[in-house]
Amino acid sequence: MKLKDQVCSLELSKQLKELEVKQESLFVWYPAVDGYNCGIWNEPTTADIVPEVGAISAFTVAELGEMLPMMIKNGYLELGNDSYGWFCAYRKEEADWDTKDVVGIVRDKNEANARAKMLVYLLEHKVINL
Amino acid sequence: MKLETQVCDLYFAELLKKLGVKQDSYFIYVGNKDNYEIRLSSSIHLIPANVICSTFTVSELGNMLLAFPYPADYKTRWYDNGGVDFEIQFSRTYQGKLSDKRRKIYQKLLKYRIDSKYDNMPKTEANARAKMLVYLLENKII
Repeated sequence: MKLKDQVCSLELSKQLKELEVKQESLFVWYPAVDGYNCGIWNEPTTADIVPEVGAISAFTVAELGEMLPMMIKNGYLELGNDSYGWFCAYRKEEADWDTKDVVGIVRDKNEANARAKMLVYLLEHKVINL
Repeated sequence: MKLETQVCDLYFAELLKKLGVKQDSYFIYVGNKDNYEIRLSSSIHLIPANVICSTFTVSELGNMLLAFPYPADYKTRWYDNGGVDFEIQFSRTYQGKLSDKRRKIYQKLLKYRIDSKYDNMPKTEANARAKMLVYLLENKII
């Protein structure tokens, strides 16, 4: 599985940085000659090519899962995959597999992107602060 | 978030290896059972003899779990005790059409969901997914 499929996209990573999400992550998008590359922070083989300046945290599925609140004012966190792809949702109650009571849901083929999209939404709408 | 909590424990990683999971991952365990660490599998400094097994990220495990052979819904659930569970359920539209074989799998997954509430529930998403993957492989569901 490619690294870029394990982290949120560059665009979403930029949005999260603009929204002042703390830049602490396992992986990072860093400037390269032809745009941005994704690599690991501080690993001996890549440390010399990862400049601190201009780097953007590329959050993993696990990191994003940890940042998303279990509960918001009117909903419980639900993360998963169904016939439409990966999703991140908040539901009114912890009803099993019930799609009726969705407060909000975002989807993406990339699991990290689905979580990042929800995080961006929550931050932009000031539902949460990080 | 520490790398250790983003990949499955050595316990699950070794089980997955024994169960024949392809050792193709971004990270690996190196060392021995008493003294081990996580390294990049692509690291040029690796000594093959020191490699214990692959360890898998939440993302890699999620990708493998999608090999479940029937239309299904997957969900991660957190509990108040800090435990994490990964659940699989036949898609709602598919449940009415279960053959005997599929009904048995359905019942196994239901039992897994109930049992997991009383077992030592994993504390990380990676271990919750690894535990489910081990269960599916041991029960020859995937």
